[in-house]
Amino acid sequence: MPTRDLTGKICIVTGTGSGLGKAMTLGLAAAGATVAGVDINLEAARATAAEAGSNVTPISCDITKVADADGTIKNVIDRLGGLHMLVNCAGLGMSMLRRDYWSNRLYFWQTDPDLWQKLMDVNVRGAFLMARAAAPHMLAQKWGRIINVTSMNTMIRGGNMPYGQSKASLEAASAAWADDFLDSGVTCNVLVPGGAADTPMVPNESPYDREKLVKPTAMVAPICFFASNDSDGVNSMRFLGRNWDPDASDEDNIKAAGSPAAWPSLADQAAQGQPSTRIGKDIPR
Amino acid sequence: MTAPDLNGKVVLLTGGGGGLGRAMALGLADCGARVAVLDIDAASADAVTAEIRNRHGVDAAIAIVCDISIESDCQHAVERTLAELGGLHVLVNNAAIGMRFISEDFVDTPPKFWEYSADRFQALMDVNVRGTFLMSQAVVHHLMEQGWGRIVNVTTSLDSMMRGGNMPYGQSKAAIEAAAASWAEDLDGTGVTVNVLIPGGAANTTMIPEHSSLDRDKINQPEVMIAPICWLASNESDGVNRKRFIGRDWDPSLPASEAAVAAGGPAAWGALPPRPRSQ
Repeated sequence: MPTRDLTGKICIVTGTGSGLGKAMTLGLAAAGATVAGVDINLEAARATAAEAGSNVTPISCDITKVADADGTIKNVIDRLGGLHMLVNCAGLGMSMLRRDYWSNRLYFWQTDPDLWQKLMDVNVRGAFLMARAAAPHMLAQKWGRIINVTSMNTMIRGGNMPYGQSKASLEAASAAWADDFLDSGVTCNVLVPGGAADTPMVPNESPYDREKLVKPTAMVAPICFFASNDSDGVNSMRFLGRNWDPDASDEDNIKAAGSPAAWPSLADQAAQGQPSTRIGKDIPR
Repeated sequence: MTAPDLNGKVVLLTGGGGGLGRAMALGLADCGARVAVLDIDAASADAVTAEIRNRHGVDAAIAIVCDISIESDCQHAVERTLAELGGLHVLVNNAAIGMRFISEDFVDTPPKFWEYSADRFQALMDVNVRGTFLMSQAVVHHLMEQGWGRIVNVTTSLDSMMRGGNMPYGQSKAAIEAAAASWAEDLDGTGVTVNVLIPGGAANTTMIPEHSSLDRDKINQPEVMIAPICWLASNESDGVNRKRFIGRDWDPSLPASEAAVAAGGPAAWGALPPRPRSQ
């Protein structure tokens, strides 16, 4: 495995307080990157920073608010001395709408419009606001990365709205933003675990065997690749963390774990036998 | 083909005041449906309603001014439709804000995603995504109770959803494409179906600026939506669920069941073939 030295790279990870965001924050910091750990829950961000020991600055930010998003980007550039990568990892899951949605399916007509909006605001608007605020600095320095964390087949699964549609929207945006960045030195890619991951987004009462869930640390090797100059020119791709072999070369990993972002890739990765777990029992309507 | 008989069907159609919505409203009414023409713009909803009434009488259509991004507006629109047209069978989620709202010359100078304001982003998403959700929520209970109904989401071509310079329009349509596929599963077995209908490329509507490099005669005319939407609104499409149909590919000379096969496929991205693995 290429041991990466990310010293000098300044990264923002949203949703740093738990799950995939925490794993990526710790992984980037361990590789020497300077990380702004962003979370709406400052205590959680602080806990992650403490666990990292050094290199992580916890920041409280509501990414759905323009002033917060703009302020956080400016703050990071001013205080940490720059910005090279934005990881849009913060996201709300279905359990925010219904705690036991695994066994008690949430049909779309049962969805509280206020909770619907809250989820869409974090997962879609928030990612946009952060990317929009970060882009000008990255474009000016002719180097930058935006990484969006989306999902798999869950985008179009029954009983999974609005989470699925929020991720479909972000997936589409990722491919489009990558186009907008073409030849600028800035890239946009998607990184997903490659299946349900062992995070708080999957409640303990879910039917999954937690041992078989994708470990959040599956995100670490690919996110460190993205933060490095080794990923120069990789744009508009979609990577599955669980298919990334830390012992293999980047070249092999790009082939094994990557394919073009958005729909062509989703069709491809679905055909590779992604489990399509049906959520919830068929309850009488 | 013979046009389906939509006598007795009531259609609630958002964005009915112009473009694809106007074409579908007129086409549905011509097949016998009564139409609630929703638009946020009263004058255009009134004009299309008057056109329908001229052809088919005063009972054939009503105009409803509605901001679909507001829950109470949607509920009120459904109540009025039920009270004044005597039923509700089909919801066509057609209303949308297009890229002109982001940048007037988007066709020839596609805007980068960091160039537009958060307010524009939100206003577009609120109509295209939230509005589609709220409207669908507002109608679905009635449709399920009667054991028959249709929800049709108008989205866009898969490549337009993910094309640079086309955000946030593209990502708004990706969201309601995904939702259509999911809602269709939620409604499985209820007699209510959810499908997607698109023109199949740029269409000659006000979403395209007056002056651009697109030749208005060569892009899709709104009328390509008529044959498939009338078929979807009819009993002939019973059991057709979670599909997407492309108006341009619909051959009106064929029987509808055959035209539907030629112009249809699974909703969302399930229809795409797996990509060959790179060596």
